[in-house]
Amino acid sequence: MKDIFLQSRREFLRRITALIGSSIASVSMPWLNIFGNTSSSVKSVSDKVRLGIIGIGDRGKVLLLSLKEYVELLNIEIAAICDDYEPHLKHGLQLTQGNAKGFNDYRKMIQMKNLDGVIIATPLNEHAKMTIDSLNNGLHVFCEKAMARNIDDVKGMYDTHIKTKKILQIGLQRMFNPVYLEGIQKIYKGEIGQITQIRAYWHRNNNWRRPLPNNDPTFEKRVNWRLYDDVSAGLLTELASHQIQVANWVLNTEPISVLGNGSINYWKDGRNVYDNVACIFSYPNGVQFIYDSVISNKHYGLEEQILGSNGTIEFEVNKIYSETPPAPPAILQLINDIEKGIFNTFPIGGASWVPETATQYKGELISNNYKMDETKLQLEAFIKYIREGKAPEILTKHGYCASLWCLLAERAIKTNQVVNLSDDYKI
Amino acid sequence: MGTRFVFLVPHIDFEKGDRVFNHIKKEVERIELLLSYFKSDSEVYKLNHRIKNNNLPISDELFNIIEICNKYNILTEGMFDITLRPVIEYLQSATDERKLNENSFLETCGMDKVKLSKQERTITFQNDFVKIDFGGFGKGYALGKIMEILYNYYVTDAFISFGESSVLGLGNHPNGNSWSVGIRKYNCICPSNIKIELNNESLSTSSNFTLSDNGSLRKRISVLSPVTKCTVTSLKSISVKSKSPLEAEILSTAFLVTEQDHFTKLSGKFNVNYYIETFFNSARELNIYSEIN
Repeated sequence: MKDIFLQSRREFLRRITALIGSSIASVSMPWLNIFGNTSSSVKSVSDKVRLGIIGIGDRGKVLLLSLKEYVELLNIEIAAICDDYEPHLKHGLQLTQGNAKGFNDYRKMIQMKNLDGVIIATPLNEHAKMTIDSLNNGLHVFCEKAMARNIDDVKGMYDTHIKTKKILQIGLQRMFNPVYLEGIQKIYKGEIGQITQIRAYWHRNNNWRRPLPNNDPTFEKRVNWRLYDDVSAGLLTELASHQIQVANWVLNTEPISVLGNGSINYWKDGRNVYDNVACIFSYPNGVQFIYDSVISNKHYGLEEQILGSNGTIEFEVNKIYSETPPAPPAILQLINDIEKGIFNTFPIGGASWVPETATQYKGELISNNYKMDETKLQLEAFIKYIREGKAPEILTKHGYCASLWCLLAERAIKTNQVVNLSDDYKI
Repeated sequence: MGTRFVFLVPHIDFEKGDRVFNHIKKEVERIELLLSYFKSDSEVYKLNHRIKNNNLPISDELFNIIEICNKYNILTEGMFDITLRPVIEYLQSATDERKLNENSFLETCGMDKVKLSKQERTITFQNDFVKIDFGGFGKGYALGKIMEILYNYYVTDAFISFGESSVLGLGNHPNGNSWSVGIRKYNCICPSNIKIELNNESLSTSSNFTLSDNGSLRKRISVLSPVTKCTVTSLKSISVKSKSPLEAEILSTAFLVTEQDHFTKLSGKFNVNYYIETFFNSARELNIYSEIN
């Protein structure tokens, strides 16, 4: 597995180096430049990046295992882990072979000497205080999306990041996914024309519940925190935030308003977050982003569909579709030959080419480089940013805007009104 | 025409190229409005969806076109026939029980069921079922008109293609003394071994299948011999090279459904070149080939 990771990472780095060689990617996706920046690589044994992880639940464990891949490669140390649930902490310590120091209170962990940064993977309503305390304590922070449970906390996290000049990176891993990177570049280059609409959805068919330890109901809110309104905004913060970020990225701006509806129409099991939502985000120039999410049907899965005047991109399936027929290969060969001064036979005769219908036309791949673990790559970037002492501000802004607008969508649903962003939260 | 159109003129300045292209585009749209089987505002569509059969007035151009079709119907001994489409549609949609009546349905079609009146400039259809379809005619007709436009603009070297099945090589390739084209192979993007030089000539290919750009089989098309009343079962393609784009189009359409013996007899009548590719002789062979690949 490690060999596969290293091999695919090398391929990613090779392609990213080519990508950031283009001015479009270099300017519009500056967070990639770190991968081509030799000053962020390891200089000496003492040049070690020491990290702590807060929250060793499902996601925290994934992040911990991902970080382990970089221990030697990037000279890092998983110096501390923290979880207030004893079994999680114990399991986390086992995964580090006892090398990390364990804590059940993050406030003590962030006092540790020589810690460079923390990774936060706790329930949503805990993100803000942990992030703000860590930043104020001089630590760089990687925090899982979304940023916080309410918009004041989102703003508070951002303001603290600005005040302390410490890195605040939000776990929106599509920003490190080669398919998205190459697709966005195609969009910025105008390959699918003017973007006129975005549609996205995330559909699952399960109750989103996780089993309680020993079936003990006192754990309900700690384990199934995504289902409770005071901890999470459910589908909006846990799923939609990724896709709102993609829409913002595609349009290179943020919405100007949002309206929406939601309800609990299927999973009437005591939860108080919506099990289905539908929202429309309005962007400048009259572009609408139509979004919906359900957890009672999985037929359509998840997708972000970018509709342009000359083509369509579907990121999740790595496809780009042209509105106009592809140029005949034979004619392309002929043009190529003429340009090179060559006289060749080209294969032309055959039955009439006829347009393919939508169901027949399979589109083209956006990227051949899609077997990558974007979660690992975003952590690699975080490590390298720490070594540099800074990260591109746009990276944090993406996290801020995506987090803010999923909460504004929630407000639109709850108030049944069109919601705009007040000046107080503009950055 | 329901396909993609390629207009390639080497070394033409942008302004002139734009002017010529727009002229051609208008002409193609005009022809489509005349001959389209599918567009509800075309003259042919209106004739096919008539409410009476007798003495229907038609434009001079369509009148002349049907006269040309009649001429080639006689020259090809019935193999070129613009009235066969309803039979194909019938066979595709008919139940087995109805297919038993197919011969009687076939009797309702044929060029002899379409009568022109020279004095009145009208057309009469012998029964309600007769429809005319210029699918094996229109692209060649359009290429002929395009050739005239190009000459009027003093364009002497050009390559024009309608969906790669009907092409015109005018003058020379910039690096050669003609335009050298090959017949596409099934399941391959390479040309077959047949090499065809076009110099002020046209090549039309008719086949009973369509290929994707990567050469894979997309669809089989039912084609029917008006003489034997049988569909062509092998996967077959025939290309015809001629000075006249229209003649190339008509003859490739006709000879696709012509049996070998009859073809040998007919082909000598025309001053054209033929290139035949029969890929599979039966559907069974095709299935075996698909499995292997």
